[in-house]
Amino acid sequence: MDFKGLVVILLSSVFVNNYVLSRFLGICPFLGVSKKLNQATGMGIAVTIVMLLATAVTYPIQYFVLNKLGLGYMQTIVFILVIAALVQMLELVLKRFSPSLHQGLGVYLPLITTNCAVLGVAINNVLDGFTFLESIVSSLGCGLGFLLAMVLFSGLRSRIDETDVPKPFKGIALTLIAASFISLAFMGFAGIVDNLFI
Amino acid sequence: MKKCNNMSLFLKGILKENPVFVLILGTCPTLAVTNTVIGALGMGVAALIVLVCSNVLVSLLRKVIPDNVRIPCYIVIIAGFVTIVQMFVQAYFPEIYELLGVYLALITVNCIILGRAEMFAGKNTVGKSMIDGLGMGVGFTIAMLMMSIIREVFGNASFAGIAIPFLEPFKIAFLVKAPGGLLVYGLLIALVYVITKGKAPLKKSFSCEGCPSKEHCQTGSCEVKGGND
Amino acid sequence: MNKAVKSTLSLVIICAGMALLIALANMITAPIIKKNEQAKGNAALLQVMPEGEGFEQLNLSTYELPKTVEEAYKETTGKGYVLKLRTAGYGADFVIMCGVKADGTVSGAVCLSSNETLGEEKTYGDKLKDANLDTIDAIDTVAGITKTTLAYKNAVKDALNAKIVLDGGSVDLRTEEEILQDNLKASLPGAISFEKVFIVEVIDESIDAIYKENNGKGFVLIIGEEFIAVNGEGTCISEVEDTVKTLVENTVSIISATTTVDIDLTTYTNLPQELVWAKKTATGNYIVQVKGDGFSIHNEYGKDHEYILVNLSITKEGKVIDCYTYSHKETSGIGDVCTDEKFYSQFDGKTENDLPSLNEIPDLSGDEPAYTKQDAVKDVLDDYVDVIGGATITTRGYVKAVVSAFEVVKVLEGGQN
Repeated sequence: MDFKGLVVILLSSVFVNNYVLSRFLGICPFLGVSKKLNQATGMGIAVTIVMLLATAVTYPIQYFVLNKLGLGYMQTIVFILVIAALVQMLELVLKRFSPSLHQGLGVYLPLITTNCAVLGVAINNVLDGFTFLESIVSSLGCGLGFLLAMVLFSGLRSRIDETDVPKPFKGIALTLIAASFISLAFMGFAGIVDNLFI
Repeated sequence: MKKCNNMSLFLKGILKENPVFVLILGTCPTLAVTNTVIGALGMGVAALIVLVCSNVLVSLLRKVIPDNVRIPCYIVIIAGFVTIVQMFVQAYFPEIYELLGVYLALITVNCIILGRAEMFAGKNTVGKSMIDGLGMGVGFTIAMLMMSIIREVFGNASFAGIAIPFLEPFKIAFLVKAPGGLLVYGLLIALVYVITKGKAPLKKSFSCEGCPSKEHCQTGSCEVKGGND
Repeated sequence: MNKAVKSTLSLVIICAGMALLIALANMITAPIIKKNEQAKGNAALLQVMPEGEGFEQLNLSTYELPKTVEEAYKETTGKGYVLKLRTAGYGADFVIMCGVKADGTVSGAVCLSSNETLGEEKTYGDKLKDANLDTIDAIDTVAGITKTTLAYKNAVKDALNAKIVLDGGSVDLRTEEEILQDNLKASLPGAISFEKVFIVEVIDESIDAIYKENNGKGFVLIIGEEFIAVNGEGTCISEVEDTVKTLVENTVSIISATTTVDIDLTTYTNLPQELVWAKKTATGNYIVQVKGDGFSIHNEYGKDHEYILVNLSITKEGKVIDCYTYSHKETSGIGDVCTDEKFYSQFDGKTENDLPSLNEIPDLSGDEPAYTKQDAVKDVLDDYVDVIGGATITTRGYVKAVVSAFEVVKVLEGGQN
């Protein structure tokens, strides 16, 4: 096991290839649910968990079912169904065994079904040709990156909403522009991670 | 009279309810593939085809599909059409296929499509659904083109891959990068607000209706959102 | 009907319906996608064989090809082959695509990927165009990226050899060293391995090299193209003229009888600092080890700076009998050409007058990096020796070591230093 390689994958998916800020996956929840810190955290954690589960399930499906049967082209339809089913099941399990957790995270789960970050992670792991372990690490990184972006941004959002700006910029427009600057800051991570171990 | 109605149905998707600038739907591809005009056009047309096809099929099956499993059914239909479009793009436009990469598959979770299926096609006739799909699709494509023209022309000093030499010294390279996408999108939304003088339908009144998860959604967590992407 | 059953059923039917549609679309598009991908792969092949019409990949396991060959494609109309080769450059591996025409000439070669720092290997393939196995050796490598271009050239050579194999012929894939060892073994029955003898006595000039069997089975002497064997008892066993027989046997007995005495260097003053140790033979010749400041010493970025150690045998009159590189830390692929026999054997038979004097060789000390003076150094050395391409500083150190050996002999002979 190449430990360094895994660390590089983890760090680059958190910082360099941050799903929200550089690959634009999961922008809707990023814009929608980042108003309050607790909501942002809840959504971020829920997405991380679903990403990990989705990868753990879709990876064997891709390699041991679809590829074996020569049905690689069914990838999208199978993955989205698996993710939808997974989210439903997770919700049921949470409701049954941990109502308090369900109260905290449950509300975000249905929103995740059609979150393109989750499907994106599942497909990207296959496209990148990662091993199972690498896939898991990469989805963990992507989830944490999403959480990081959400939490960082929620702090900013409360300020943005209180400021008095020209009317056309109020709301979504200014939010996007602010996100642009955070994304600019994240661009600074490029090149750092690759050179960490040299 | 009917024709006039159809026309306005078509036009509303382009301007008044433009999915990208007014409804703020489908933000992911809007930001991700608009750094080149070709990519944006490809994505726009691909989404348009999926949108029309899925709208028609959903509308055809609207009386057959049981209410409680309609969202999964819609997702399957959309994912199916996305896969088919993906195959044809790969076969006939391999360059565009490589340009769009994973974002082509992610049309599946583009909430414009699921949103229209849920909001419109599931309740209206086949003809109207098709026109709605066309209008929304064209509106999406136009928005994508606007974004991409600004980003490519000023960010890369080229249009659809053809270099514009006199802009070369003035190009703002960061426009084609991730932050540029967010910035241009934000500015365009503000611009559309100015043009429509704020008379466009308020985001809020549309967002939750179009959101596939509205039953589960608590209003508090979903003020600006239009579903997930 | 039960509501749950109805829901599940309709979902399943829709899934099945969509799956059917997708399968249908796949049937239409799959052949086109496959053709596209093939065309894309062929584009790289066409680059090196523009006249090709179609290509077919060959199964390599049925042929005995050079190790560098990774993939082989046959032009379907018989115009030749395209080979994909992986070889080691100065840094990482690099991949070369090379087309070989049916007449055995290179139709084109391109470097597909490399991490090399310099850019010239990108166009080096153009120089190799139209070369064949007879002419390729004459094509120069590029100074500064000698190793990379040498590897490039060797890869293309492998492609030319591979073409012969693919056509059903056979080629000798052994290295020169392996060929030599095989020839030596063939001439001395029972021999296992050989080592070149470092000659310390003046022997007949017609003898080019002497190899000793490592297990005491005897010697093989090379005279021109001939391999002449002498067994463990010192008797010539090859069928040659009697005069040659006598010469060979005498030479072997001289070599076998050689005894040496270590010289105590402390009794001498004024010995050049290049000297490491010195010995004297019973016949009065000297064996010395001298050190030269090569690139390893002058490389400002290097880690372990080490001298090139050269072993020389010299007559008391100051003429080199034999010479070889004992150890060095010169740059792999460039300066390490100093271990090539072709390089060090050029000093055989040289005297003081055939080489520059110590004063003539430019000094490299000072603040400026050594490489800034390489052109001046090359100008001086070019008049006397074959300078290693891209390794002027190495050659300078080597020559300096050899020249100082002449001084050593003068001092040891109690001369007028």
